[in-house]
Amino acid sequence: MSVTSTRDPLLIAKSAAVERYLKTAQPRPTFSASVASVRPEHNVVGVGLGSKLIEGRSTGTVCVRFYVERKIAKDAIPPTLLLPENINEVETDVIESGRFRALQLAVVAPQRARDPRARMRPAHPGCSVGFQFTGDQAGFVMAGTLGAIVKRQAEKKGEKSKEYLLSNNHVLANEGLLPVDSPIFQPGLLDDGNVSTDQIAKLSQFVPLAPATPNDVDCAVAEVLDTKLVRGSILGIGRLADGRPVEATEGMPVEKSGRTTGFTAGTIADTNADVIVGYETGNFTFQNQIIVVGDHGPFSQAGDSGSLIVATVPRRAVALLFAGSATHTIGNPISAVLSALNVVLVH
Amino acid sequence: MNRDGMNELEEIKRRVSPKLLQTKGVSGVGIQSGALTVYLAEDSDDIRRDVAALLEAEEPGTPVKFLVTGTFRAQ
Repeated sequence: MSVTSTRDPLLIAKSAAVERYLKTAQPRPTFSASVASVRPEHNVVGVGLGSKLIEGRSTGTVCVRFYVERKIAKDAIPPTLLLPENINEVETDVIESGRFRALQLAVVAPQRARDPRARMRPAHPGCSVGFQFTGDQAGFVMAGTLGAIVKRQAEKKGEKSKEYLLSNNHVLANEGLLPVDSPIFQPGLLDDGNVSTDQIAKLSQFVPLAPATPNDVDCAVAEVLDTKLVRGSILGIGRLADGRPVEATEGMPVEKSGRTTGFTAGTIADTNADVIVGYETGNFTFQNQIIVVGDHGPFSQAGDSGSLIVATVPRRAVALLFAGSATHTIGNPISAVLSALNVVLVH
Repeated sequence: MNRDGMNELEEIKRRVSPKLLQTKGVSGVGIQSGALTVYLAEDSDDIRRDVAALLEAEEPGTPVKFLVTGTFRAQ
């Protein structure tokens, strides 16, 4: 006599999901900005069985659960990369668990400032922004930081003033791969931005990255769709004392507000550095850059690119953060950025 | 360091930087505390020796400071 448990079809479906999605798992490639992949081979970190949840409540139906590093809105995922709604006729559910790691003791500091990864209207410098990967890169999502609101240097009298988001080329233009007018989202799609509802700007201009000669800047601007969507005051820092930049000096205390590490303070260590910086599209040399060291741990991490680096006193812009290592942060002199894009800071 | 000394150091950096950046293990070249500063991708005496030899050939007598920063990535 054979006894068939009612769970057998579930276990069979779970095994099929493990075969199809966990045994084909691959390490996610590294990207220059803060990027996550929604491709199943990168994103699925576990498979289990459990009650299907809708808005956090159990429906009572047992299903195959996919545990994923990041759960992203369906409309941000190409249809071919969506996880199936059924496996062997058993319903599935997708639960964001993050990537599983050996446990470490962690102390979470109380969050006082606004969450820079959240959707915010108006959007403030320091918050998450980004573009949508297309073509061969579809299925990845990213986020960087909105550095400042800028406007064109000379506008005709009586003409309605346009405002622009200032950030890096690699945050707004995918290292120069995106065409002008590409949509820019707040928050970035890595931070659950929605392509249908969260576009706040369109890419206007970027300074291309030069492979053969030293670069001065990694910067771009995106025209804001409606000036009501943005404000110039920086999260956790406030308004600039003056829209005119100040020249960096060694030992100058500075601060920044970024999408990943929020508000941090540091000190300028070098105002004249030539550096090699790794990007997705290759290594690029930059000349006459500003190096900052954090006062209490790293000044920045992946996803902070685009942040405005500001002198602590008086509060004036010094640099545009674009790169770093585990211990050092690099910024373009802000005067070079503003000059390359022919814009001024709105403060 | 006075302005003349700084100008001289900036000029030395401008001359040697392209060659130093081609040296394996060098992440950057700058100026810190009045000294030419070479940023290293890793803590290696071999890299330090290569840099020192290059500087001795190109700009003899230039004081140099080394700082291990790791490699730089767009963030």
